[in-house]
Amino acid sequence: MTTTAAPPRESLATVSLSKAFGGVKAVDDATVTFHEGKVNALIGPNGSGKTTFFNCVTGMIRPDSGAVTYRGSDVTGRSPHRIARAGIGRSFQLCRIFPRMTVLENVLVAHRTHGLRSLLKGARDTDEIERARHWLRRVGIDHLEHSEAADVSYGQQKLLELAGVLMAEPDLIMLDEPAGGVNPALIGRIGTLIRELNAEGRTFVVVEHNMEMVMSLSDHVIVFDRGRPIAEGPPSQIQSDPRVLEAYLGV
Amino acid sequence: MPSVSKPSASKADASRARVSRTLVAKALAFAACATALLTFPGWAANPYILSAGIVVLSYAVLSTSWNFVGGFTGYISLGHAAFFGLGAYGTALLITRLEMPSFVAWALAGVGVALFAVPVGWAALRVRGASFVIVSIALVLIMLLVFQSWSSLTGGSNGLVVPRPFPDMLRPQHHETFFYLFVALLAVTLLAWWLIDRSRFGMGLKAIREDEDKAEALGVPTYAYKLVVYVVSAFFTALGGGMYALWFGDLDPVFQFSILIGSYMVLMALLGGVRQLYGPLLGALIVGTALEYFKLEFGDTQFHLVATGLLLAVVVLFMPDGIIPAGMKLVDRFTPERSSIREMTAAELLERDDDERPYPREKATR
Amino acid sequence: MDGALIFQSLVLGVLLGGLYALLAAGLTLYFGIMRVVMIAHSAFLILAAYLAWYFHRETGIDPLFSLFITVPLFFGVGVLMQRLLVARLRPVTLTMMSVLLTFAIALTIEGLLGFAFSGTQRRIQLDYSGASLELFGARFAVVKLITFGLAVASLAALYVIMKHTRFGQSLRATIQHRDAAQLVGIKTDRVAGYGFGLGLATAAIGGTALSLDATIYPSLHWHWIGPLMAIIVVGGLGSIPGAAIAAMVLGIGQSLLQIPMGTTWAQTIFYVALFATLMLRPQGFFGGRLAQRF
Repeated sequence: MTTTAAPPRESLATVSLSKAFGGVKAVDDATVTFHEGKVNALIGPNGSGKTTFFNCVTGMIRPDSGAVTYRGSDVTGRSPHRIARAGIGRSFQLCRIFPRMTVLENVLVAHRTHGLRSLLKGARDTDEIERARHWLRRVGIDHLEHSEAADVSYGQQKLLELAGVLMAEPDLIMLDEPAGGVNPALIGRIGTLIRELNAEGRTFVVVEHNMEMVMSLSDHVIVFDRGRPIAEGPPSQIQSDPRVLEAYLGV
Repeated sequence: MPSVSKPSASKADASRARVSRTLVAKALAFAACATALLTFPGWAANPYILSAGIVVLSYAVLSTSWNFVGGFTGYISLGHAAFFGLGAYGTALLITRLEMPSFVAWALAGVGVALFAVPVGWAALRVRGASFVIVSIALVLIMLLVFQSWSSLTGGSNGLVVPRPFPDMLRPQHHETFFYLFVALLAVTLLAWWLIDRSRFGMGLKAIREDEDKAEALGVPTYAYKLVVYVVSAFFTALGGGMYALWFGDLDPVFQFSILIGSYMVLMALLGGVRQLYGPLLGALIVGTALEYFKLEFGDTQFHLVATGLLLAVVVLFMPDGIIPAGMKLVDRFTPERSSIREMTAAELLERDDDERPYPREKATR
Repeated sequence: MDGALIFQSLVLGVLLGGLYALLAAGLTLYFGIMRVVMIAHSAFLILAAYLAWYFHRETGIDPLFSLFITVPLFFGVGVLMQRLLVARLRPVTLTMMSVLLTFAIALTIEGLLGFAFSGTQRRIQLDYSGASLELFGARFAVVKLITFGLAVASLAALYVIMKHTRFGQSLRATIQHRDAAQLVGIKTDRVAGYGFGLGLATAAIGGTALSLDATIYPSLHWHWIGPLMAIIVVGGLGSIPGAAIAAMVLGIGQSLLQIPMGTTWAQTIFYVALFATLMLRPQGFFGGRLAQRF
C-alpha cells in the first residue's frame, strides 16, 4: 500500500466457480480475485454462499465447475491438505478445535514436517514446540498450553484455532467469521492481530457479519449475493453502494 | 503428567515433586505387573490355566493391534478377524505348501497380510465412517466364504493342521515357550503403539479422530495417514494370528474368520480405553479371563454371545472412553492433591474469563 | 433347455431381488434418518422368521398370520430402540458408536435365539411348501412367489407412506435436512423414532416371508447382513430407489452366477460390487447424495 505504481499481485482467484446442492446453486458462476498483501472482506446476507465458496476454494468441497488459482497455479479440486501446504490456511465458521487434545497439541498438529523419519520423531520436539509456543504467545493464550482444548472458553478456542492456522505458516489466511459469537473486547484483539499479521505480509480473506470490523479492517470488500459477487471496492465505496443495500434488505 | 510452569516457585516445586512421585509409582506398578506376567507360567496351577493365559495374551496382542486404527483414528473396524485369520492361514500354508521354517513363514505371512491390507484400506478409507465399517464386516464374511469353499487349498471345514515349530517339546514346555513368545510379541506391539502415540504422525492421527476436516485443513494428509496406520494394524493383527496358528496347531475357518473374534478385539479395547496404551491389554485381561472362565464352567453355550453383546452395549452407552479414564476420574475425586489442581484451573478459568457463549458442540471430554 | 435354465434363474433373481430391496429399504431408512448403520437389521429378520416358525408350531395357523403380531411389535421395538438407545449416543461419534451398539444388539439376539430354540436348523412345513408353478418350461416354487408378492406389496406401501402422507413428508424432510425440518415445526425426534420403527417393520415382513422358504438357524443373519450392506453402498447410502435398483441388479446377478459358479461362490458378487463401488464411485451408483461425507 506504500506505492501506487506497482500493480497488485494476484493471490487467490476463482473463475466461474459453481457449486449446487440439489437444485440450489450455493455458488453460482463466481469470478473473484484477491490481491496479495491486502485484507479482503467477503460480506453478504446469510445463505449468499460465502461459506460454500470458502469450502470450494480450500478443497473441502469439489466445485461442479470453474477454476481456482493460487498465485497463478491451478489448485481446483486439490485435496484440502495439499491446499493447506500450498500456503492457504483457513478457520471454520463455528470454531473447530481438537477437543480432547491439549492447547499445545492443537497447534502442533499443523507442523510442517515431511517424510517418514521426521514424522516418527517425537511430537514434542523442541523446534516445533518453540514455534507452537510462539504462536500461542502471539494470540495470547500461552498460559493455557497444558489445558485440554475442550476446557477453555469459546473465545480462547477461537484464538487457539487462529494459532493453529498460523502454525502452518500460510501466506493467505481465510477466516470464516472470526468475530462470530465473541465479545467486543476480544473482537478488538482479533482485529489488531489481523492488522499486525497483515503488516508482516500475510494476505487475508475474511467472511464477517460485523460491519464495524469489516469497515475498519479491510482494504477491499467483496459483496456476495446468491452465490456470486455483486459489488466490490474499498469499504467507503461499498457503504454507499445501492446494490449492497438491496441485497441486504432483499428488495 | 508434565510439569506445569507456574508463577510461584513453591507451586512449581510442588508440582515437580508430584511428577517425580507419580513417575516412581508408575515404575513400581510397571515392574510389579511385568514380574507377575513373566512369572505366570511358574505359578499357573496346571497346563490348562497356562493355556488360558496364552489365549488371554493373544487377545491382548490382537486388541492392541486393533487399537492402532480404533484408538488413534477413531475408525471402528469390526472385521479385524480377517487379518487374524489370514495371518494364521498364511503362516500355516507357507509352512505346509512351501516348506518354510515356521518363524520365517510367520514373518512373511505378516508382511503379506500388510500388503493385502493396502488395497483393502484404499477402498475402505476413501469415504468416511459408515463405508469403512461396512467394508470391515464384508471382509470377514468374504474370507470366511473363500476359506470354507476353497477346500483344496485350505482344507475347508475339515480344518488345517499346522506343523509344530518345536516338535521335540512336551506339552507344558510348549505352552511355556509360547507364553513367552506371546509376551514378546505383545511387548513389541505395545512399543510400536507407544512410539506412534508420541510421534508427530500419531498426533496427526489423533487430530483425525477429533476432527478430520479440521486436521486436513491444517495440512495433515489424512488419507495417507489413515492408510498407513491401517496397514500397520493389519500387520500386527496378522502376526498375532500367525503366532496363534503356530501355538494351537489346528485351524478352522469358522473360528479363524469369526465375526466374534473381531468383536472381542473391539470390546476389549473399548472397555479398557482406546486412548490409553494399556487400555486394550486391561480389557483383554478382564474379558479374556471371563470368557475362559465361562468356557470352563458352562462349556460352549450361547451364553458368551449374549454376555459379549450386553457388555458391549453397556460400554458403548455408558462409558465409551473405557474404564481407565473412568477410573482416573475416580482417583482424581478422592485424591486431595489432585483436586487442588482442579481448583486451581477452575480459579484460572474464572480469573481469565471474559466469556460469552457456551461451547457450541457437546463436550467431548468426560 | 439351457434357455429355460437361464430364464428360471433370471426370474428367481427378480424374486430374490424383491426381498433384498425390501430389507435394504429398511437399512436405508435408518441411515437416512440417523446416519446409523444398523447391523442388527438382519438379526431382527431372523428373529421374525423364528417367531413365524414358533407361531406356526404352536398354533398350526399359517405363519403369514404372525405378521399381525410381529409387524406392530417390531415397529414398537424400533421406536423404543431409537428413543432409548440410539438417541443417547454422542452426536460427534454417532456413526461409529451406533454401529457398535447395533452390532451388540445383533450378538444378543443371536445368542438369545440359540438359548431359546437351540442351534438346530428349523424349517416350516406347509401344504403348499412343495407346490410350484410351471412357466415356459421353468418351475417356480409358490412360496417364492408369495415372498416376492409380500415384498412388493410392502415396498409399495412404504412408497405410499413416504410420498403421500403427512408423516412421510415429515420423514423425508427430516432425512434431507434435520435442522430445517425442526424449524418448520416437525418434531424430528418423534419422526426419527417412527422412521426407525418403520425400518424394523420391514425386517418383520422380510423375516416372515423368509421363514416360508428357508431353513433358519441363529447365526443365519450374518449371511444376510453382508449382501444387504453391499446393496446399500452400491445404491448410494441413503437412497431408497438406489437401494432397490441395486438389490434387483445384484439379486439377478447372484442368481445367474449360480449356474456356472455354484451357490457359495455366487455370493461373492456382492463383495466384488461393494469394492468396485468404493473404488470407482464411492458415492454409490444410484442417487446417494448423503454418502460423500459419511
